[in-house]
Amino acid sequence: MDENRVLIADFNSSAPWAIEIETLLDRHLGSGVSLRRDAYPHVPPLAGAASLRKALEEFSPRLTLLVLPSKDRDSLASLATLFHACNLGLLPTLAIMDTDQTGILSDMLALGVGDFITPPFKAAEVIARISRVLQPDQEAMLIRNLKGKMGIRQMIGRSPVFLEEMEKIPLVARCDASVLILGETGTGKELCARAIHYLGPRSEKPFVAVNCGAIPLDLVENELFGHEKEAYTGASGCKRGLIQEADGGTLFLDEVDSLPLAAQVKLLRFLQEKEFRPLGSTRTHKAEVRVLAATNLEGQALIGSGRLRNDLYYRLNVVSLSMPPLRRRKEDIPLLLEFFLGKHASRLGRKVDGFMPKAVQKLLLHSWPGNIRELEHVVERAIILSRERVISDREIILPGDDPLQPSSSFQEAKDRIIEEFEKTYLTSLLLSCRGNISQAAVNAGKHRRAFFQLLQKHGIDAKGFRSDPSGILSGKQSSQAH
Amino acid sequence: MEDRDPEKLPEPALTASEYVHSTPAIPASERLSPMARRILAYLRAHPHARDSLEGIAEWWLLEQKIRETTEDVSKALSELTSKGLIVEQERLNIKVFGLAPL
Repeated sequence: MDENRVLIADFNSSAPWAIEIETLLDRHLGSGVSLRRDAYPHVPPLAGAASLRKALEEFSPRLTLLVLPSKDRDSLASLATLFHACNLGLLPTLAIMDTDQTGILSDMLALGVGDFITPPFKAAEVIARISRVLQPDQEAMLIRNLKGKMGIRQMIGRSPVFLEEMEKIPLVARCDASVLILGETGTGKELCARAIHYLGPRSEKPFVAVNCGAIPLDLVENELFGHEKEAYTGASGCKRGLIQEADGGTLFLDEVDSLPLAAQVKLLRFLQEKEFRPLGSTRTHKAEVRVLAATNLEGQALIGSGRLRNDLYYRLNVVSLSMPPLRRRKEDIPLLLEFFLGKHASRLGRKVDGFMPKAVQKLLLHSWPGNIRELEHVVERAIILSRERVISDREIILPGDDPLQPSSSFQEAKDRIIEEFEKTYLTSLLLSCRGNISQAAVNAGKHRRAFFQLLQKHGIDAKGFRSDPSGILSGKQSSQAH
Repeated sequence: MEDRDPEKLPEPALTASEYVHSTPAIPASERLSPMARRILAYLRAHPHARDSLEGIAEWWLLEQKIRETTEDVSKALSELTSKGLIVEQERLNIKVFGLAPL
């Protein structure tokens, strides 16, 4: 029987990590594994490559643990050089490093690093990850591989910007790190989170999803951490929190920036210590949970908004994925239409086969602020309204007017867009100036008379903005005065 | 977890595919549908799994289908090998199958 050989290649001899890992493996795997630990120079990057290549040829390890220095992108460049020089991409490799920089870990996974481990080293976690590589269950691997290929195909799209993120999912999935998923509403963040769970090492355990924005603020901590009996008035029994429900598996926190700050503090502690305390409890509980989080805000906006604590952001954002909005991947709309047509036509018992070209054109011209979720609702509605087997543009009902009508000439389309822009701009300006035409004209950089003529051209009455500071944008609805 | 009636469930020794397609001797009205059996088979293999309707539809059934297909293919390969219609070779710990020479 082949021996399980593990090579520990130490490129960070100033830290005790290599020795700690060797001791841990020796204690827990004993005679089941043959260990070799070599120290290599880190600078310059290729200084250790020749020695490492020789060690790989001599020792033929089943697994290589690379102990790397970190905290800067030079490490990544060094690692890439080392990978190519030693053909490490062909061998199972785990990286041991201490980093909180986003982007580096995604790049490492893309290079071919199978997983990474960060100090402090917990025996159960390290052994589990290494054992998965050393003792693969062939049948389980086959099913996992097929599941990966077919599962990703359920995420529909072929546009480069979409595929770029989808290709990261299997890599991100297997490394068991916290992931922050960014994307506008309706872009498939939960779909992505579920794919990460089912393609990762926790796929057999619970997947628990929660929309943090949907929980009443005073119930958030109770929902996440649970409570003991009589923790508060009306608490007649114990209740397990969502963290306990997800123990061993994955907890997905959508709209994580909606969490109140007190809950964020507790969540941060849990992420750091793997411990939490239910409401009313005097003792801490442990849980082993992978946390995936999502938000509609982009990185800097998220930090700058103050809605999410910086330290929690960095703890969640070990790896990040960004789901592109539908308007940036419009070439995927025909594929999505086909999918939603198949899904809803049979469910609704309607014989609808496709879309007229004008209908597709109308759909392609829309900006889709609600993204894929909005598209699905539009298709569902169109199927219900359609009296023919093919959906026409009349059955495509989109919110608001679309400035671009398919049958417009270039000049007509341009005029319509300019008109929309002017209306929106003037209205916003009057809102901010509380109907003061003179002030609005100054802000717009226009002469007062010219500005007034613009208002007249669009039928906008400035008086309406003086009497109702909360604004009347469309003129179709009356707003409530406070 | 509520107690299960042993008469309603086949032996645990059945493969995923056999479990889904078997018809134990119980009244038709009380038999589980193939879809229900598929879900139950997944839970028997992964007793700690938990997810919503979307997750079950998208992932549990996918894995179950892959498992059943893999088992069916494996059985078919054994049958063809035993009848001498295909040959099996092992290369680098992987079994490879091909048409038997005439």
